[in-house]
Amino acid sequence: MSESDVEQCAALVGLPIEPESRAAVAEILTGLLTAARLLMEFPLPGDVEPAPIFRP
Amino acid sequence: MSVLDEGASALEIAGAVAARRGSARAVVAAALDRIAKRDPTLNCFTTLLGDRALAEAERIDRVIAGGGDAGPLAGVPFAVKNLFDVAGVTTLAGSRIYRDNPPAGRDATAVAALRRAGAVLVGCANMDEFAFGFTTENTHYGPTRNPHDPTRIAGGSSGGSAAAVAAGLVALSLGSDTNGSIRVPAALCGVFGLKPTYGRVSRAGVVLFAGSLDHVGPFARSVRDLAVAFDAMQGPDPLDPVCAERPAEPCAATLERGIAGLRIGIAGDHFGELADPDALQALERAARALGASRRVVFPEANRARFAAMLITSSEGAQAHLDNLRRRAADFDPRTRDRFRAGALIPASHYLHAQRFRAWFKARVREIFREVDVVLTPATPFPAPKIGAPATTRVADVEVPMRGHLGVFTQPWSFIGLPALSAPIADPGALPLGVQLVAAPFMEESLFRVAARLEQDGVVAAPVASARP
Repeated sequence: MSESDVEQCAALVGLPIEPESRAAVAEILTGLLTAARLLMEFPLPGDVEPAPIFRP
Repeated sequence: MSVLDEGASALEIAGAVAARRGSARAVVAAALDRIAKRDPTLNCFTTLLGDRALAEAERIDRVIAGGGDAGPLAGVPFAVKNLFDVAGVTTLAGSRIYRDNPPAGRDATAVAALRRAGAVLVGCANMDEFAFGFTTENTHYGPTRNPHDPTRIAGGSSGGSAAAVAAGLVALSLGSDTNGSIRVPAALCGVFGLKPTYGRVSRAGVVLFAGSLDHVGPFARSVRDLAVAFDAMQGPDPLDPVCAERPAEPCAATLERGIAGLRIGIAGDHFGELADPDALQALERAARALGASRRVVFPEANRARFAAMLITSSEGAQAHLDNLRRRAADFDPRTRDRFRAGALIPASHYLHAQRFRAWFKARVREIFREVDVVLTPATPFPAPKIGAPATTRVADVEVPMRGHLGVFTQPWSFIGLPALSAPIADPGALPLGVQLVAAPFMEESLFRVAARLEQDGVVAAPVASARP
């Protein structure tokens, strides 16, 4: 994830990020995307639905 | 012990006030004196409500003098994390941006519940900005200092609430917990902290951080105080869309039941790795006292943590997107770029994390058919220094100093399970906690185990006295 990637992604969501902050955001986002990659490597059954309901 | 002392429990105070052996006014005045003496160092409070608290205490004294019942927490001074609405006070949520907001029109449901029970609100407590952190190193309002060692963090994000109870400034406080923000500061400050089941206690009137993960709960210095505070707050509330319709199930009356019949296990794998030996020894001490030896493995707990991080970052960023666009310079530099990064997480990742959550919840639910309470360390190490480096080494692995504080708490809040952090007695130089976890809505089991540990002297929360 580069500073330029951050600039482009931020433009997509309409979020201005000044140039001097892009490196820091890129570093944090890289960490989050690494976590996402490790998460998505785990094969979930196709019938698992997100549903934030908690029962005993 | 006098009920004016810093170490008086909530129930000792309430008992004395109800029996007119002491006045609520004197109790609250003593709390305000302690705050005046110690808070300039500790920085637990961002707002003090001295005059209001004294007036409220006088009202309680009048009710009792007139033969009325002022409630089970009559005259007990308490504090709330400054993301709870308090009528007439601007809700800061640790931010500079919200300073511009008008005062809240009414109390948050949980605050109102404690006040109905007779407790007296003395002030609002410091926190990480918008609850995004485990340290309460707030740039706008300064760090809250750990009462056991003021060079160290109190933990977070409910650091001011935990430290105020640990220092004996108040007997009770309220915090919120998205990934560990009650349990982490409870452990680092050496007090009891409860994160109830998701939906058990109303969050109405609370500034949310990541709505699908947010909980509110109490801090106290005894199990019974914690239970009475929880009982005063639990139950349905139409003002919170996620609050369960399940009726309240009071816990204070069950503390004497002991642990007979409860199956207690020790969480293995993830929960026994990447922690300091002291934290693991504290856990073993609690397990031995309970006669628990069975290791219980929760599959993919580390991935659960990753998923919680993604959901938290996405939902948190969404909640503050407008201000990130318009007022980025007014954010705390410690949170601003983390919120921005969260805004850039693809929706596919967020949804995969939510699907993983459903899978993990189902697996853990099966495990809790075979066990009632599981023990883990609350944090992997004791309180770091304020301003400590970004990383540290644990078990020869480099980990983020701040983020790693939630390594053992995040997997449980991720799926809404109730969890209680209990401070191990005589831990050494700094406090450490053991975390008790149960199936949804089984807080009673947590309280029964915590009560046994307290009765046996394995966990305890003495006041952290001022250093000379």
